[in-house]
Amino acid sequence: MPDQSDPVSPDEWILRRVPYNELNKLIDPDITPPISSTAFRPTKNDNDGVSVFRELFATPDEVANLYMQQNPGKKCYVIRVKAEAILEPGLGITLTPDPIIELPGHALIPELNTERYFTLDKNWCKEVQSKISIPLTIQNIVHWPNI
Amino acid sequence: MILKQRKSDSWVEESQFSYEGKSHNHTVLLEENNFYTSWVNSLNELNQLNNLEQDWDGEDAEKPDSETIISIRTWLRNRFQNREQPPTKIIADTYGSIIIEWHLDGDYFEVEVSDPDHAEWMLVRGAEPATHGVFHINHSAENSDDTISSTESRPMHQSPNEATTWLQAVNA
Repeated sequence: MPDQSDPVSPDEWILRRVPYNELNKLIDPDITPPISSTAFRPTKNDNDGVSVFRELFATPDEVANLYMQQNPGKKCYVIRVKAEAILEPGLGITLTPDPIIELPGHALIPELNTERYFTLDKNWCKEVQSKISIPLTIQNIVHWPNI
Repeated sequence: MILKQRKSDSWVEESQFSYEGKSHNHTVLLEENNFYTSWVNSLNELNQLNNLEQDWDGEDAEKPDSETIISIRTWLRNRFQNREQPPTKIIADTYGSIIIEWHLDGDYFEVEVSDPDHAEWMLVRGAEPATHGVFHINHSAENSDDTISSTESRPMHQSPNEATTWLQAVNA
C-alpha cells in the first residue's frame, strides 16, 4: 500500500488548485492555452514551495473542498499535471512529499518558493511556471468551480 | 489571391469575381472584427481588474493598483494604434501585478507590470531558454519604438466604428 511519504513517481498525477474569480481568469477555457502560468506562481505564503496534491491519495473534489473550507465563499479549479512534466530534468524542480493533517497526499515544489521568486531568481521562476503551464489544455482541468 | 488573378482574365470572370469578391471582402471584414473584438475584450479584462478586491483569492492576494492599470491602458492603446497583436490574456497575480500574455505560434510573450512605470518582459520560444528584460512603461507609452519590438505585428485596416468601441473601453 502506497505511503504519502514515499517519493513521487513520474507516472503519478499531480493536482494543483487554482483560485476562481470572475474578474480575474487565471484559467479561461475559451482561449488557448487555457491555464495561465501564474497558476504556478508562488504566493507570499509559499515560503516552503508551491503546494500540490498527489492524486494517488486525494481526489480533485477533495482538493477543491479543502480550498473552499479554508477560504469560505471562494471557489477554485483543480488542474492535473503528470509528475514527469514537473520532474523534467531541464526544469530543475522537484516534488517533495509534505504530509499535512487536513488531506492526504500533500506535496511541495520547493524550488518555486516566495523567497526565490522575490529576491533570488524571479526570472527563473517565471520561466519554469510558463514551461509547466503552456502545454496544458482544457483536458487538464479536472475540477470546475460551481459557477 | 485567386480572385485577383481571375479578375484580370475576362469580363465574364470579372462578373464572377464581383460576386465572389463580395464574399472575399466579407472575409476580410471578419478578420478586422476579430482584431477589434480581441482588443475590446483585452481592455475589458484590464478594466475588470480594477474591481478586484483585496484577498480576491482567499489567500491574501493584493488588489491591483489603479494607477498601474491606467498606465497599462495608455501603453496598450499605443500597441493598438501600432496595429499590434492584441494580448491573449490579461490577469492579476497575487501580488497585485498585472500580467499581459501573448501566445503566438507556440511562443509565449509576457509583460508584468508591478507599478505605473515598471514593466518586466519574458519571451519563451519553445524549449529555448527564455529571454528577459525591463522597461519604463510610461516612457514606452509615449514612444512607440521601445523594447517590446519582439511582439509580432499584423497589418490591419482601420474600422472607425470598432475603433470607437475600443476607445470607449479604454476610457471607461
